[in-house]
Amino acid sequence: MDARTLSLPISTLDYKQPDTVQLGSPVSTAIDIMQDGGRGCILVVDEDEQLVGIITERDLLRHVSGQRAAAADFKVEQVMTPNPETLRASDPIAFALNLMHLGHFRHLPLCVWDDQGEAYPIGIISTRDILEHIAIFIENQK
Amino acid sequence: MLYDLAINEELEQMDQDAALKAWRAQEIQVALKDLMRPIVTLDINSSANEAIDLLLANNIGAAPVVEDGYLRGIFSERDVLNKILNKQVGDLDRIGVKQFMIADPQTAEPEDSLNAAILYMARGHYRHVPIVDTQNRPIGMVSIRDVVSYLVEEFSQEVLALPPKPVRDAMKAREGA
Repeated sequence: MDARTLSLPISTLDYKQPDTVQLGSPVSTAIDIMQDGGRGCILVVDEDEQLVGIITERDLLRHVSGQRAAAADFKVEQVMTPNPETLRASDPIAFALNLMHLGHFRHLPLCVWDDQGEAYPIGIISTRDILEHIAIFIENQK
Repeated sequence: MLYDLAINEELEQMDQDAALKAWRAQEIQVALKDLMRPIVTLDINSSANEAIDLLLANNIGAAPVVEDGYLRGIFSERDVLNKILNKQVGDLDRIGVKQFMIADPQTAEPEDSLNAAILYMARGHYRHVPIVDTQNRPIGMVSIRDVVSYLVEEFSQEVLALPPKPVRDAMKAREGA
């Protein structure tokens, strides 16, 4: 483990393409996509594919399990965290780590921005992605 | 000439500092007993709803499932997503957590190092590693969040010379510039 491990850009990690669901969709649709993809989160986008929110396992636990209501009764916007923190793929891994620490996030959307400052998601980075990156360095030292 | 000499000395010093930092970082070996959090356990006879309530009430993502104090399994948010939501599983007040837990999870011992936990988590795709005593009784938990927090604090001087919060605001400023 070397401190410089964390100064590399996020783009050097094997980050994943984001799964997305449209505003207005039932939460059950988001759950289906998360189950099929084996993912712990999904991004909510508007009709222009701009990022508007994120739904994590924790959100589902809180809103769906907690209220014991059927997921079909909720829309994604009722469950999502709106305007999530975002990063660029060119930002250092350390940025992601710091943001995850401060906000207690397990996932951060990676975005590109257009001239109007609208964010379009291009990826997702998770704490596990970073841990796997660090694990490679640990194993290489053995 | 004097200027070149000064620059060279400066560069040499920087190289030495970098080598020292890298060496120190490689030597980091924190024991999991210094990192683990107090354990919140679920009895193996708990219902699924009781298990979900326990995760919510304690703001945790997973809890060890115990029988007479001995570790039998682990129940996490991921089990709720994959095995309960959108599924016709029946009455969650009557179905036991036993049906949804992962049995006999990977564990670590208090003297194991952080490196070991990172490898367990990365290779096994776990987010939580129960720490057990020699009798396989859980005495603590290390989560991926604990690892992140430790790394941020440990490397704060070397790499994370970052603004504490305004990452996002700084990005907006770059956009506007």
